Amino acid sequence: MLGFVLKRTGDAILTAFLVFTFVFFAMRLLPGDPVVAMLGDRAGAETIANVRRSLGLDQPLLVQYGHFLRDLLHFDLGTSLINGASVGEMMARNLPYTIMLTLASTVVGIVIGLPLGVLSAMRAGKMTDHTTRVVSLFGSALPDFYVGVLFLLFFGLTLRWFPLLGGGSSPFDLYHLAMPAMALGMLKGFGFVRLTRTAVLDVAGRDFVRTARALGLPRRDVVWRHILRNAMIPISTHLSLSIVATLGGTIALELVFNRPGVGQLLVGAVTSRDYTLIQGGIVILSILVVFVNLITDLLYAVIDPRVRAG
Amino acid sequence: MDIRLGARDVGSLDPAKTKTGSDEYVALQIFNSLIAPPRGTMDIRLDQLQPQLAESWEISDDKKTWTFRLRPGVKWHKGYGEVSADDVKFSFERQLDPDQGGVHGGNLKDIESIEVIDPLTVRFNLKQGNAFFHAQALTPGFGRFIVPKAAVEALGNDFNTGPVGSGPFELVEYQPQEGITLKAHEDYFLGRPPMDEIRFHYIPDINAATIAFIGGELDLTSGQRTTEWVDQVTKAVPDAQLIAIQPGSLQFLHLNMKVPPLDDVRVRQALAHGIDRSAWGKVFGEVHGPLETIVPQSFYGAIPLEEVPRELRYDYSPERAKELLAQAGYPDGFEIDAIISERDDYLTNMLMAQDMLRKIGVTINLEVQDHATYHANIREDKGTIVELSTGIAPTAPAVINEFLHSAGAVGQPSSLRNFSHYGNIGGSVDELIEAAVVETDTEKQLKLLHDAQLQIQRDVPVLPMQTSPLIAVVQGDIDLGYEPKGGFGQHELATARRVGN
Repeated sequence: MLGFVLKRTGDAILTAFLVFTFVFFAMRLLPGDPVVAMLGDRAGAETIANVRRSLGLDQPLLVQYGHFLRDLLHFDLGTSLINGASVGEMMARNLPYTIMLTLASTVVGIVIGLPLGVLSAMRAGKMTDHTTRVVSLFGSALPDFYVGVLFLLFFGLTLRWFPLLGGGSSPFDLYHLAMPAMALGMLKGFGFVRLTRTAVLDVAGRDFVRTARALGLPRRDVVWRHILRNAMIPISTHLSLSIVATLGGTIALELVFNRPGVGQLLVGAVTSRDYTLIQGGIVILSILVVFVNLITDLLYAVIDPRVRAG
Repeated sequence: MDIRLGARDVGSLDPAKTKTGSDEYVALQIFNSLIAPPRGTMDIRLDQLQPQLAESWEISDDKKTWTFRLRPGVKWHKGYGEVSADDVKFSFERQLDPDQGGVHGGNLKDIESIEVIDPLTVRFNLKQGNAFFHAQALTPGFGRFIVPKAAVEALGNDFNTGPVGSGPFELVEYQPQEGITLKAHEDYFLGRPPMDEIRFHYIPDINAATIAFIGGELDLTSGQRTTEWVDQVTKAVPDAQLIAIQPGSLQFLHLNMKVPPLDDVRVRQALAHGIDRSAWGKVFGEVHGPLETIVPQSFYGAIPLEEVPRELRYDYSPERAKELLAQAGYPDGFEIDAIISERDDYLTNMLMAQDMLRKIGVTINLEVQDHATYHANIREDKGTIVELSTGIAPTAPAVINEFLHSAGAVGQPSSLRNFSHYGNIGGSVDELIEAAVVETDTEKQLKLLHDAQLQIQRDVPVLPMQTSPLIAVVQGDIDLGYEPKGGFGQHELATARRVGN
């Protein structure tokens, strides 16, 4: 087991390193100049050259890469090219907002998706099932920014239940968190419905469930103990993947609700070619994703020894 | 009072380093310049200048020496003492040092030296006479605000987000990516502003800002320069006041004279005849201003239209355009590749031009690029027909120097935004414009400027399309205390107050 843990950890570190390197060079190969983006279209060539020099962007690419790695080893993500603020501090400020939105929307998604998915599977082929499937299929196809705007217009503007702007005083400000979490949670819920239905039907068709039914076990026991418990394995895998995807995928909702977050931060950074901020953001996100995947791998290995064998 | 800033965060609030229009918007409330145009305008005629920190001034006949007498007793925020001539000297000199990271030094490059005559008198000695020095270096915005020497030295880099000024509002708090809160400066020399507090919110997404304005969470927001947006907001908030500041952005097409067949003046004239400028008025309605020549009529030194001979106005005439193309050896027209930004104001204009020119046989194959890429590419001279949508100081010399002086041609160290290479490889108004800047006789100066514009009309290095006003809406219960007519879309809030309700 120790060997497995070491190998997977080594793989994770290598993966993260490759991601940083790729992002570093990819950003610089992209057309567009951070200094032109920063100074706007009014600046003259001399000013642009001065600012480029002051930011070290006139140095050879490999020298810049060396500085990047050196700083990284000192846990220094550098400063934003655009406003000189510490990238580490910007990430530390924004990440909690994204994490809270991810967790809150996941909870909403589970609350909506699991019961409806089970119900749909239990009533397979009946009207309830058809309705749930059609609604969830239609719902999953809705773009997130569109749902966000609808929520904003209905719950914010028409009903005036929630504020229209900003993330509030902290990431835990439920008044500001509720609307984006509901919008994103509803979309996640549609996905969970379909997944849960499939998982439950899959398990329900297996021999051991048929055996349990044939033995005359009460329906509730069959559903809860045998079907749901086993269906939870694919569902929980999907859940962890969904969390990872949401961490980097809250961009549209953060924009629509004008909520701080990593997504909004990175979109702004890409638009302005803020190399250091993009690098810093990707470093943090990739470490998070690699870490979640590593934990998932290790947990699987604990649950299922065949994984360790490779 | 709650106001939208369209940026994602502050670039810098240090006037020497402001990066975006949003930075400038906040700086305008915190700082003062020496002098200013009449409130709400961009009128830079010398006889119209208004006192700000300077209460009087003397300008030598040769426009080489500019002396300002400061108001006594003007207080800096946060107990940093009173505004002095030393502060003025310091504010400009720090920007001329390239190591300071200032970005507006180019506006001040005519300064030879700055002398402190006494604690309240300061003199600018210029390298050569410049009749437009005030417009370029002394009125509000773009590095022209006066900062307190003591505060800048004490705060160092913290001055970027913790500025100290002498203006109507002082900084209370900056919350990264959220906003900036200012409070009334009790000792403001023009009187304490009526608003106790101003809150600027960073809202990059226009939809989020629009909904917040309709919901009453914003008192003032900039808007999209489209008739649809204006209709939508004014219908949803019937008492909202629409502010359309002219000329806003100048929108025109540079014809890169290094690229055949744009190197042939007959081809450029043909393109000018092939563009129906009246189309922009029909499409953009109230979000439109005319631009018949490269300098808008409202700018100082613009040639009056009646002085432009008929044949140099390039009225819409596809027939004449085809004739000219045939004379140039392109009886069937030609195809040309061009890049363009995906930003709405760029793309819409270019698509309209593309459609019109198709009718005279000219096909523009467009490659749409993201805005940052587009600007980087045109700076590297990769453009053929280059569109620009941009604000600029409201004088003919500013426009011509920036876009048509040979020194500003892209691809050289002094490059500004001359994408056509006019003056570099064909035609030139360099001498006319240089003579106009040092000319102290107004009549002669205007003559030189008009001659330059006529020459440009003959050579057609650019195709003017329209001006696009900067659009903003204000809630009905806000009175700004003046009528905004011109500027860069930033509104002074020193006299803003809430009325009624």
